[in-house]
Amino acid sequence: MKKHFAKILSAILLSGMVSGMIVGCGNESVSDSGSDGESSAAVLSGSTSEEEEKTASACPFERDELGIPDLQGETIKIWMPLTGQEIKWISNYSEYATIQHLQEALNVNFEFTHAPVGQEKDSFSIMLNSGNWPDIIWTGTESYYPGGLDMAMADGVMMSVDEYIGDDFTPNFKRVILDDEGRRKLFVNDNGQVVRMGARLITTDGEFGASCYVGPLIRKDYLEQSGLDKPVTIADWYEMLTKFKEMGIEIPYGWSSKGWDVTESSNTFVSAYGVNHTYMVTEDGKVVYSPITDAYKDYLTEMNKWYSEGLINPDFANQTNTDNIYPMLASDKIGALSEHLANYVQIYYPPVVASNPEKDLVPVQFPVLNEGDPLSRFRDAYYGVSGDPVITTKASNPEACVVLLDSLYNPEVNYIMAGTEGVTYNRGTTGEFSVDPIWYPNDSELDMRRQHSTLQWREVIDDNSTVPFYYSYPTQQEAFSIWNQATYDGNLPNGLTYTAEENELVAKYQTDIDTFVKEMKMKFMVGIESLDNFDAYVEQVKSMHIDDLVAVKQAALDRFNAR
Amino acid sequence: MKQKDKARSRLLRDLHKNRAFYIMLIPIVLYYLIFCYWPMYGATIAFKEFKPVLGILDSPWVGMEYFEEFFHAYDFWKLIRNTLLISFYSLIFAFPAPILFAILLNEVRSERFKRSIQTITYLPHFVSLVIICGLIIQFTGTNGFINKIYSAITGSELALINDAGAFRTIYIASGIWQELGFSSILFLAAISTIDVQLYEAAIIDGCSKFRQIWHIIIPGIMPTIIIMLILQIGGIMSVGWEKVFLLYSPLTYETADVISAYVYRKGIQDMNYSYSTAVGLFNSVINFILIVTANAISRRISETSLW
Repeated sequence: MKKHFAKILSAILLSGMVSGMIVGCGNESVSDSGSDGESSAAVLSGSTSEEEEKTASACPFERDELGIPDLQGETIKIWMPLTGQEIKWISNYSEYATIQHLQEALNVNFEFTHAPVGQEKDSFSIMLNSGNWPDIIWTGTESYYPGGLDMAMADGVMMSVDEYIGDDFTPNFKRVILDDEGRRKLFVNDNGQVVRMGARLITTDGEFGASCYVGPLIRKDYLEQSGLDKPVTIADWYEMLTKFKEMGIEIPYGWSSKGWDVTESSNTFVSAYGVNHTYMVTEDGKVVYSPITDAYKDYLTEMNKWYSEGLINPDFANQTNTDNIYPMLASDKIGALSEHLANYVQIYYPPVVASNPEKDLVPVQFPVLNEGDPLSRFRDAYYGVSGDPVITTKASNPEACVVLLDSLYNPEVNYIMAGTEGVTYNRGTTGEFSVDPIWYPNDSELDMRRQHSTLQWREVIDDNSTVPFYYSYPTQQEAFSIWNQATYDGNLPNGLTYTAEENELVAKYQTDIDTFVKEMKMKFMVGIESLDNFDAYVEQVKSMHIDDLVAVKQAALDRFNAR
Repeated sequence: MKQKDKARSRLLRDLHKNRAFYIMLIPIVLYYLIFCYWPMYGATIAFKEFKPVLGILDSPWVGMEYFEEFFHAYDFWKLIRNTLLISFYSLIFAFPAPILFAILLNEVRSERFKRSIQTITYLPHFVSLVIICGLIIQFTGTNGFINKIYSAITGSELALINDAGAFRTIYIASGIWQELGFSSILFLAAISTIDVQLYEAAIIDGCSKFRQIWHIIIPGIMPTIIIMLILQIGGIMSVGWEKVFLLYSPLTYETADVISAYVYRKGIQDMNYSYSTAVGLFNSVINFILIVTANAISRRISETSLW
């Protein structure tokens, strides 16, 4: 659950971050009249075998020579959350030029419903129970629906698109994804059903493939003043933070755990002990629940020491990075923190670093326990499949929805959304979907963000070639070069699916364990609970059926590897 | 037969004569039907394995399964204990506060002073709970002024807001501060209905101020107090989750986690609808039993009751 959240958040943040722009919302209209020539759909429908006709009728939407379908003015209702960053720019997705280009080219209308920021999960749950479902739920089902996509399909919330898969309805999806065995695996479930049509594929290709976006950062001026080198081991960190304290910095390490705990999700300190904060995969492929291991106790012992010596933010339990840590960082009360590289640029850079370059942050390597130890196996890595558009069983126009999702995998549609060739983008060289944005740094910030912030839709095959465009600040570039040296094979992979019985176990036990573990580890850290009671805590977690849940994860992992 | 006709024509005449009142009554009745009675039908999902796609009617029955699950839940006793204690302390400390305040305010002679006090004490009631809780967290955090005073006196290093032992005190004290003025309106109104002649008679008999309060004001507003008390007892198991949710953290779960917050987590966040409905229903049934009992006791003892 936590993993998904972090993943989604990093996807969301990525989609929010932009540092270039596109000018001139070209009213470039694409010929959408299918009468120009014989459409491929018409041809195909003639040759459809009788067997296929039983399952799905011929695609009613004609495609032009570029393969762009004419959706005949259909209206498609879409539910999707907006990010906190996006709502500063737009109140509705249809305000994005990208989306307007798409509506025009495909002759389709979108009606977007957005969840209030911060209440996405509640809003999802209420929407589902009201029975008033949209045609497509763009994101959220996998992480919010109990049991994820498989369960949503079994419960009849999610429509199966299997009957539409083929050259008639989904030529692009089939060609780009399904015909490639390595990609196919990520878009189907354990039973081989397609569950993720419309999702983006972030490959591990290129220099910035599977990059790490969250990790430790230190105030540059304080590090220089302390006269110490960049910390490498946990002991170095302890020395540095103690020095910071002596230098009069009120909170040497700015931890916050309300909302998104970045220190935890980047596994910044815990990874030095060879564990993470949730289920991990050992080097020989075994699933282990980290918070009850001996290594985790060592980690807590160290954190307890730091906390009691005033090195960690004493109010971390009630604070968030955005609301509390950044203001304190800007007012010289904090020496180091863990953060997302997008937030660094969006929240910290413009108001602070731009005018006070000495307050910049320097990225450092994830600490290890002893000098020469292997680096973290638990760093964040952005790759795989992002998003999970679900066509609901109440969709009034499922065929149009299928064709819409499929057309995102058409490179020509991708370029239409990117604007005007030569003005807002150039075709990239690394793949058929690759786009090199053209930046106009003097133009209004608003436009650039509007143009570029629909990554959920555009660049469905992301080969990471745009990362240097979006993450162009020196600190960000340096962070990639440092953090990416660590590995991520200790984390459970994305896209595990569970059987109905497994889901029942998870639903029954996981939250209680999560609540209890969260409570206890904070108490150990703060010192309310003595670490002598760690064994009793482990016993308690075991009695809450953790072994059953580990077995569930192990089975799901084995199935995933065998997929 | 004749009797019936007579009754009917009397009803019609009454409806006609007081039609303005009946029309005004309609929205209220509708409100209760739509928002209070209609949702009760949804409570049946506590006994069903609810699936959104099947709807309330067609989801399969599972009997008492979810109730049993709750009774065996790890958090069961902690939730019950926290809910009861918060309510119980509210009843002891937060309930009498506005009564006392209303009596004191009633004795203030300077009209201007009285009005200023009233306005100042009402104000917090109109501030949104989110802001109130934000203030509480600031004040009781490590650098908050309340915490500074507290740690100067006790030498405690743990900030109040992170101290599970202080959670109830913070919760109830801030509640008193926020609602004191507004809740006292009701009692002030009750005091103003007391016949002035009673005071005059008491003064002639040589009653001190304190005796007047004891023998005139308190008996005078007793029916109001009892009705409010019965209502309060009926809500003893329902501590609102919003404030708890805004104030608690894993460090204070031990004393702060209450049934309604658990229902929210399980139901809305984990989408375990049936289970959370079962918990909520269990809660309501206990509340119902309590309110009926309190009412019956009160009717015996003081002849004041809700029905």
